[in-house]
Amino acid sequence: MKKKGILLCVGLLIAFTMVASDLALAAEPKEILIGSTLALSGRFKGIVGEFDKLAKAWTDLVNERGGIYVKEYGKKLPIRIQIYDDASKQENARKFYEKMAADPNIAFFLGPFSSFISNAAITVAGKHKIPMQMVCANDSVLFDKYNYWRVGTLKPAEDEWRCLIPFYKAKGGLKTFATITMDTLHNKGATRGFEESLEKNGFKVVYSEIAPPPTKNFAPIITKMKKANPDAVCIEALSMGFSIGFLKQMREAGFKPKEVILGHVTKHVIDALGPDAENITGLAYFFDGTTQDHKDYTEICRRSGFTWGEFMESSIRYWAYTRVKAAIEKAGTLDRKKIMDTLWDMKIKIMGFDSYVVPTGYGTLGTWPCQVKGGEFVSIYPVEKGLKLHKFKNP
Amino acid sequence: MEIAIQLVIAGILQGGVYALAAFGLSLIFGVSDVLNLAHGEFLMLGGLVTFLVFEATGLNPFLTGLFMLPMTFFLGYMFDRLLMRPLATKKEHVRIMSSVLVTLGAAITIEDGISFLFGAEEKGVDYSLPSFFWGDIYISYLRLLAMVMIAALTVGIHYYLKKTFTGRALRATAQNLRGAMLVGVDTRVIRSVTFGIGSLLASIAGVFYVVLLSIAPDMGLSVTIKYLCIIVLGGLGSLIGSLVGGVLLGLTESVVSYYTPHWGQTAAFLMLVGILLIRPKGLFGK
Repeated sequence: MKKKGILLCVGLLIAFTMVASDLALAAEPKEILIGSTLALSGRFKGIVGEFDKLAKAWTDLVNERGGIYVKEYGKKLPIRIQIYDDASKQENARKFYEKMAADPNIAFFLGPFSSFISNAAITVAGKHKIPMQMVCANDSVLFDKYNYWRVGTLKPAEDEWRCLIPFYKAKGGLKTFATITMDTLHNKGATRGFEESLEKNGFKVVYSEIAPPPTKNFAPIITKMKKANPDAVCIEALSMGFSIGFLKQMREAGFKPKEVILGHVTKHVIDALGPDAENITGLAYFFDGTTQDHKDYTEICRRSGFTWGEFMESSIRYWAYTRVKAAIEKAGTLDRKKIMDTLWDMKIKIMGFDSYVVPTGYGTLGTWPCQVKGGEFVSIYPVEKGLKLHKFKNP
Repeated sequence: MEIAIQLVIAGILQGGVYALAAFGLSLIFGVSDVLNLAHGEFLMLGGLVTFLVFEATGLNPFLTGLFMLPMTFFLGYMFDRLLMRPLATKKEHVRIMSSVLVTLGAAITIEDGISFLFGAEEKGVDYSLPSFFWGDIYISYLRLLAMVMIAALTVGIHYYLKKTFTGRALRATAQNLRGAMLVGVDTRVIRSVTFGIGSLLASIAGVFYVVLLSIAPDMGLSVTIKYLCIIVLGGLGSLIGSLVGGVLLGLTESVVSYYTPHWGQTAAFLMLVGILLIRPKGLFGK
């Protein structure tokens, strides 16, 4: 009886010690863990498949500088981004975010690539009340219904092309536009906004077409577009294959509008077209600058093994990472609610521009016009600089 | 009227590119009874090699394609030798199922391997030929070249199958495997040769793909399914059928896409279903 009593006490003591040490450990995390999925395979792999390297490059850079200061613990903590491959599919993203939601060490979520996949991810964030900084996602479907637990990095998709309006108004020489859009949420939103802006600003949209992503034969569309005789042709497609196919077939058809604008122009498109890429106007989430953010962004791209022109979306990632770091530092804690409050309230400078969140949840990162010159991207922002550098594709 | 002519020209020329790729698949199926789901990967590999050589040396992509022929033949030959030959002695239903799974597995492996080694992004070659213009109507010389090539290949392979010993052995193997063995044909080698030729044809199509459009590691399976539909439409194992099937598909896509791009591909497949309902063996199937 006595022996049993002693054994019971010892067992309780051991159990108490284990629980107490666990509680002690839980009180002070060893790292800041961010959960995310990326399209490391599947149809978006060509756009963001290298961004696991980008994430590692950024966390390495931050950790080399000591990590992120969390006031609650009075010290800097290293950061790590846990990435799962969603294979460009909504259901996979949902599954992985649910899995990460079950891990109490996850401080918050970074969004996946595309509005389409983010639409699944934000439901998980809202359900489990985990802060999510969306990244490459700005279609209205994500923001129509209020969700406190997600904020965006980007301006609305409808705003993406609007930076061209003041430029073309100042430049003159263009009256009519034709658009060809790949059938995705983001692309349709971007074109819709641009077409509305064009009409409001005295330009005319003479032809508008939406084509499914696997389209390879653009000859019928180009035939109709030629008939409409636009001054400028605008191609809005996330898929480089779509853009390359369309531009090559424009060349075959001898279709040479005065201006060619490509919403998601990348180095791979330039390489595929060669000298024909010269003076294609594009939109970039980046422009030249000398701020520390510019230097850091260039550095993490270098460490990842690519240039910003090869993977334009990398700039959006950098903005999102910077917002994550700033939110944790400003909140001073890893408490999810406080981080989320901070994400909504904070206003910081990234690359010299204001980054904050508007009441609907959209961010403030927009695009800046660029043009292809000598196989490289040249920023043609602001308008004064653009007017000097910009040349029409086929004057 | 001009638009109608343009659509027909564009459709026929697009169909020629499809037929070029489907040819090899038809040949392989006709002789080996194997549905090669990795066929699109050979097309992608042909395009990839062309791209890499062009990037490094600037060599004309069609010359690269020519020099590449022995390599792709060898790849196809070894593909059959190592992966498909062990299945040849199995019972028919086991062989068919296994060949689908093996080729599917190979396709996924090649896709992931190439992605890992060369990146997943699109790759295109900057090479073009001027187009011929007649008023508003244009004919792309590159696509015309593809059409000429497929016509030449049809004639060439027809001659090869009729007049050469290997060609006759190929036909014998396709007609009656045991009969071919009885008359001394090494059917195992013939099947490997067929795979080699089929892969070679796919790689030629890959050259056109990377010049006219772009290639990406994950394109293989989706194009294989399209070419499968073409060979079913044309009649399994019929080379003429592949040509006619490809052109019909290209024409349907072109005409329907003019009115509504979203229904272009669907219309083509509906046409396939319609033809199969009337003629289940395809247009030229026996």
